[in-house]
Amino acid sequence: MININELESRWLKYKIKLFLPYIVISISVMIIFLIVYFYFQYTAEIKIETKNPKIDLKPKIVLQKKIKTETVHKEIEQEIKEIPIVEKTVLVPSLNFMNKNSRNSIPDYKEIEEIYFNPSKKKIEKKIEIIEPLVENIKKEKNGGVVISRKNTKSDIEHVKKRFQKSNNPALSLFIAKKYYELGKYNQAYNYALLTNEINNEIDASWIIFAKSLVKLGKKDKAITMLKKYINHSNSNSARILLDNITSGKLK
Amino acid sequence: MDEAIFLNSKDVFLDVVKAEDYVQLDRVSTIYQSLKDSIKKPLKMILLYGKPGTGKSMFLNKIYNDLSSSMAVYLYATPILDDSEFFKTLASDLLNVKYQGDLNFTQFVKILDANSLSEIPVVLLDEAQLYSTSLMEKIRLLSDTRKVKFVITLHKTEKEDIIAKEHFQTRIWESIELENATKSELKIYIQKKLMKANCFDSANMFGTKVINRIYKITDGNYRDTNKLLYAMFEIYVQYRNNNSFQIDYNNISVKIIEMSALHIGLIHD
Repeated sequence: MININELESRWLKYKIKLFLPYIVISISVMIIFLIVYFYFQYTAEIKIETKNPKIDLKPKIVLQKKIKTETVHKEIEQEIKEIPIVEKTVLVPSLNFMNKNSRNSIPDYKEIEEIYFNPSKKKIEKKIEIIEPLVENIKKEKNGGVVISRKNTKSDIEHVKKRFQKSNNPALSLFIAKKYYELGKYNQAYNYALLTNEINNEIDASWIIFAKSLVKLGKKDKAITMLKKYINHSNSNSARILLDNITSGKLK
Repeated sequence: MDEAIFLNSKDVFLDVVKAEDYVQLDRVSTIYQSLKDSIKKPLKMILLYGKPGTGKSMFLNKIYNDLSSSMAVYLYATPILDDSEFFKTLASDLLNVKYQGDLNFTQFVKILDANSLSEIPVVLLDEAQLYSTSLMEKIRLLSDTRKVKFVITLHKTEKEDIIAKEHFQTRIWESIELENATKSELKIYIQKKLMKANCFDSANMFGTKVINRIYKITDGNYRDTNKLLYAMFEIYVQYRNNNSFQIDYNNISVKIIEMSALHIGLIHD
């Protein structure tokens, strides 16, 4: 008489034993597959992460391309960047001073606007040529004993800076550059002239302040090279006169 | 289906050597015919060898059964290990001489020479590997007299190849090897055995898949197959009585085959 129950349990054991290697192999293969899958996914993520900075840089590249189209401006800027004028930081235009300004309280710029840019804001934004006579007019008025005095220049510049920060108007940045030049702060003058050129590289006055600042910073050769390139590009008379003054030593 | 079918089928695979249970298979029949022809030729000795369970004993039984009516054939299924007893038995059976006391080889040869026989007797010795070497030497010398023909069966072991032994190599007139069944032979063997016992329903339950599983377990060995199927039908009988297993009457269950193999120790858990 065979003990069927015992034989059935033995058979069950036998089957488990028989299929155990296959089960173990299957599970091992699955684990290996999962490890490989996650490993490749992980490496793919790392690749994407390493690619991302390139993507982030893209706008910068685009910006550079834009600058490249404006050949004269680009070449000058590159050369200036390569050779530091006073210190390394001086030649790299930084917008930190603008960020600082943004933290300050907004002044009542209406008064300033009335003082410096009486006629019309629209005209200033369109062409720098219109602004220059205005500034001159203001000076004339001053000479004529009207309201404006040089004693308030520092605070005036601060007001205009904040306005520039808001509007990004090249006329304002040019005004600031001129003011700094007049005050003998050639670094700032250089920075604001460069900023103006970046916004609009067709403004003669901006290039002239830019060149003058370079001369004052002791980079006469660079100023000459830059002016020559600009003259080739724009055929500007005022730039040619300035170049003559620099080469003849009138402007030191 | 009746329980008796499983019971009858079980009895078919009882491990007994009976000439009437001999199953005709093509390859085996050819070997059998060759052995019969060899016996009729003038010979010294015929060696029948093979692994245990390949049907050597069945062969000798079949030969004895077939030839005993027409020839002087003597079958010794159980080895006679004592020399004197062996020769006394031969003297009694072959020459009808009842010898008192010990009978050695020399005395037996003298008796053999003294008694002229009308035909050369054929002595079938099963399980000859159990005989001592000295007795085997005497059997060899006896066969050299050409007054007795011997057909001996030997287990072919892996450790010792009997045929390679010098005393057999020089004297064997013919050696025949018996092998395990092939898959197709195994199927025919099982089905023929069952059909001989009128178990047609159970014979039809052995499909190719089942035969393959049995073959894998038994390697086509007839004795192992008989034991396996005996145990298998025993389990079927018990399941039939208990109603604890849904029996498929169209196919033999592989599970029950494996349980049988576990029971008789052909596979291990």
